[in-house]
Amino acid sequence: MSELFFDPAFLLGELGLAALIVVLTLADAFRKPLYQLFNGTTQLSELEYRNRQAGWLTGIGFVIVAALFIYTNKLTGGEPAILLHNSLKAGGGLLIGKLVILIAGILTLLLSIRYTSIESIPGIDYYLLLCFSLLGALTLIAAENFIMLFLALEMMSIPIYAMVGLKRYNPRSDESAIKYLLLGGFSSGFLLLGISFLYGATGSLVISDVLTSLSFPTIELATPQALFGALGLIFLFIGLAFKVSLVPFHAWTPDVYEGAATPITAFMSVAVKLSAFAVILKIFAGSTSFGGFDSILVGMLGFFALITVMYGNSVAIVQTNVKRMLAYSSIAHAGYMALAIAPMTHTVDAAKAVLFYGIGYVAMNMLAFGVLIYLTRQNHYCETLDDLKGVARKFPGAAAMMTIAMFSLAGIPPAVGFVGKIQIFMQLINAHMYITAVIALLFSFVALYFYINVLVVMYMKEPDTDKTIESSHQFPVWVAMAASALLIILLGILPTPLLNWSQQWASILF
Amino acid sequence: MELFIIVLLPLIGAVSNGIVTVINAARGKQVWGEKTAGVIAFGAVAASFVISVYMVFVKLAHSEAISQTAYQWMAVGGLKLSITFMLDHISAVMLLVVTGVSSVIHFYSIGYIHGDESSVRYFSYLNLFVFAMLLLILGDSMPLMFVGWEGVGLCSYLLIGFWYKDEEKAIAGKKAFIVNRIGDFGFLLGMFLIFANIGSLTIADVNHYFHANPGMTFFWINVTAICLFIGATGKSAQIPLYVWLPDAMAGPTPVSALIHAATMVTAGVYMVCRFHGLFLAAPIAMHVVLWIGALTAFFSATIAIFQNDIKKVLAYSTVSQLGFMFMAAGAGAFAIALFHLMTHAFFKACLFLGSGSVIHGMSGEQDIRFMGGLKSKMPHTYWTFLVATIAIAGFPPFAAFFSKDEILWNVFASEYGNKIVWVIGAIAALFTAFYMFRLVYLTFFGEFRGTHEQEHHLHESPKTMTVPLMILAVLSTIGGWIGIPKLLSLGFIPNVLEHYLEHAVSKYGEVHLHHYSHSIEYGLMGLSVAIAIAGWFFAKRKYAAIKGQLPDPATYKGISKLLYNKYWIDELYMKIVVNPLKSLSTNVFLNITDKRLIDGVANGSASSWGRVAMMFSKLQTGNIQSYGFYMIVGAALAVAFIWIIF
Repeated sequence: MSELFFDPAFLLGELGLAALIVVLTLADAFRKPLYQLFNGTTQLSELEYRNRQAGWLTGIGFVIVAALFIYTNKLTGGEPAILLHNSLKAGGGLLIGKLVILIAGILTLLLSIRYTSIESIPGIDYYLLLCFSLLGALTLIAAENFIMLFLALEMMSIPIYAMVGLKRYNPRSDESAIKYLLLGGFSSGFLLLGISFLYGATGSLVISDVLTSLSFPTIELATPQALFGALGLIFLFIGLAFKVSLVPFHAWTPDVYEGAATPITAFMSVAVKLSAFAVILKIFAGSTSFGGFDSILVGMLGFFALITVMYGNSVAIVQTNVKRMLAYSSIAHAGYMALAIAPMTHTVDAAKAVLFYGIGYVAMNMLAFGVLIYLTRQNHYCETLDDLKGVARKFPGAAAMMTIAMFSLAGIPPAVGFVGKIQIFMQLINAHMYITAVIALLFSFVALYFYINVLVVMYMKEPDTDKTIESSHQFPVWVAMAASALLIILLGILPTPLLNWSQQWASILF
Repeated sequence: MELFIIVLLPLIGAVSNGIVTVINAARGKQVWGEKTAGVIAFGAVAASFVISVYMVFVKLAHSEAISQTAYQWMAVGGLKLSITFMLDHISAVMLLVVTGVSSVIHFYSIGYIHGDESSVRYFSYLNLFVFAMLLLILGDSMPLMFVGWEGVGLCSYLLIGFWYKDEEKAIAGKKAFIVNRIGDFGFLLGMFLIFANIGSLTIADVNHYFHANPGMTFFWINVTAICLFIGATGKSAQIPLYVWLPDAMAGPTPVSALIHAATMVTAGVYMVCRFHGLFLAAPIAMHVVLWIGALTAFFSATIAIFQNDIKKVLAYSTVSQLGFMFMAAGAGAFAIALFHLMTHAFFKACLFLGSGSVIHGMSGEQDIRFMGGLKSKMPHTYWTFLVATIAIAGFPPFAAFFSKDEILWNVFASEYGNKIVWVIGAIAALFTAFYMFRLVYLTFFGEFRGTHEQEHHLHESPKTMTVPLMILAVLSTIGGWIGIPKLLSLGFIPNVLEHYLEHAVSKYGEVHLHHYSHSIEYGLMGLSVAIAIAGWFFAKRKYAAIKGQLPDPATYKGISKLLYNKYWIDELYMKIVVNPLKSLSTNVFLNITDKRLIDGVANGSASSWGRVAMMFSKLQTGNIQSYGFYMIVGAALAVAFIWIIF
């Protein structure tokens, strides 16, 4: 791995995204004249027109950024490098992660184009915030030192606090934004505390240096230095556990998922979670063993992961709001991902399993939320189970999509969720954590109940006659749903390519 | 390659009909209607059947097993899984039964589903089911088998709830799915145990491992086998997980015939036979299989006696017959289990399709108390139904005589068998003959007890429905002849079945039969016949000459009340399992940790600004503090882990 100070070739994608932000801002400045120019030919209201224009602009931008990532790979010959004095890693397998996050962004965008108009959300603000958050996430998974890590994490999170509150006329949205902000601040406090403890223990902020200093036998156990090291790791973990919503740091999740605009919920549940997990993997599952600390971490991770799986799956059963149900489901899924790390085997295999699961989860959650967005109409939310009654009659396509999503979430073959779960459980079995595996398995069966419940409501309940939802053409949403559904099935039947990519990504993390 | 075509044809049928369903609904016009859909679905399965016949009788004739690999599915932590299909003598029997019976039932469906608005969807599901079933049968590793295992469960669920117009069907579908998943948990657990111990999951490896002196302890081998058997009890509706099958009768009748009688429910039996190497190494598990099979055979036969819904009687009969198959497997007679599986597929499919024809003719009536005298109005249905009844009751030379007699003989004589179980099985056989003839007498004999309206509409079903009945009736008659014991045929007619399966099921250990003289064997055979005759005789005496209306079940007393209400098992499960779970999840999890849900619904509907203030006041005093508090508790817990080393 080469160490460079700066080479723009490695950061073409990020630079492109930054440029897109500038372009979007400028385009919005000219929105009025443009609208007036086309006013004669379009039937749309000004807001809708602006939203569509901004949406397509952002979309084109994202596609260009994706192309830039691929071009970067060609330009750098797939060789990774470390930039800016140990601040950022770039290139190589990381590009896979970046592409995945960008794809999550593109899917979010496709889901948003119509939704923003329905909710009267000003599109340009929304897309700008989305771009900022994406840029944060892309930087976060590349961060090589704690300052950069913290910066990127906040760059990813702060736009989301704002996006959650974008449904300005909806008090639920405001409430959840404030909640998320306050609790997010709280968790950042933990994170910073952890970082400063680690700095105190090791005198460095470069992640790899810190990990080396903490590894056995560099550090002697039962010394103040080791104590601070351990505390640092624990607080760092708490800060990150908040982002991926492990119990008991999860409490914001249902409220925020419910209150936020649905595409944002989808984005949060996949992109934020995946990039935060990439960081967790980098720090806790890296190739350097922590020696004595490992036993603390095995206990801690195993404990929190397991109660997360148990709690998320149990509480999801009683939810009547589908977004809330999916929130608890996302909590449970975070638990499963954390379980794969819990054995602390420090192998690429464990990280690979988590990343594979996370990438598969992008497709399934996007699909589940996509169906909800598809069924949302002007003045008609599709959020509760009641709203889904009898949907299969009128929209068999959407119902079929939801079925694919629910089955994948429940881990039923041949969906990608099944392959993901197998890998998680293989990690536990290889580490001889049988009891943990059995409990997790048991709760994955409990989970079936609420996933199936959605299907029962869609397929087997009579629709409420007074709530007729008229169909309307929603091409972008269809594209997003079809792409996700295809990915779910394809990756379930042919997981090998993605397994290889996850492996590449995993090996660059370390 | 051929095996892939066999499996993929139904999938292609399912996908094309599925896409058309979506397009039809979206466009509001028909791309193609029920006729094309039916022909495609039937054609796909029939083609699979033809290729299967070719594969089994031409290709497999000269080899022990054919294995075809498509690609590597995944490689995870030392486990390499490939998409491989394997055809050996065990899967060959199942393959022919499934594709053959499916073809017949698909054909029948064309007539049955005629005029239903969602028939395209129906055929899509039906094909999807066959696809999943074929995966289950041909998959050469446990995960691949599990894909099919889950797939058939899903299709069963979709098809039970196919007419989701009434709540009962929806609930039945859900129940089937959930109960099945309890079984699946056992299956997966067994799979993990096997992987953790032997590091491979292909069927051949598993059987080899347990046959050749395994490193696993006796205890864990039995645990593993019992876990797999729990999976089988879920899928094959055995005690204690049988409760879903009778409810599953809410689905369309051809579905009951195909999935809930002939094919899917036998998957558990098939799986136990597949892993006979493991089961033979686990004597305790064998006893569990034997006893569960016998008890299920007995109890569900008693329940069947007092049911009035024609499909419910057949459903309990299916549960009971599946019990017989497990008795055979538990006695170590895996070939006989497969034999009975095959004959059962024929006569039970015939009975279900016959009941479908009756229900069709009776304008949807399913209660046999309001039938009677259908013999003259529906002659084809009557004759085929009667043949199948004679077959299931065990009259020679009809199919079940040979298979059921062999089961009882093996239970009697095998080293794994035992005499008490034999007695239970014999009594169950007696009840079988009784409730089946009761059904025949109440349905087809006596005077008509339904409404005038129904009598007016009463008609024989169309050819598309009666021809399949005839095919199945013929099979129910001659299907048993491939397994005529030497004792009866005196060696003149070869026992094809034994010859065919002999090697496949004795590869991993012989099961010894205790030695008995020929006279005992003849005696038992005679007893089987006597049992069948006795069952018929009692039924005839009680029900043949019945006059007037039958009593309302509400007036049942004593034992008949107990049996009519199925020993109140459903209610018991509701009380001891379902309700406690629900209250646990509501009271403990919801009320303590997520109070928001209850008032949240009310608040969500309000959008006035006035509410905002309230929300914020709530923020100040309520939730967010407790959320923060949870985090503090979590942090404290996390820090506590430090004591592990300090």
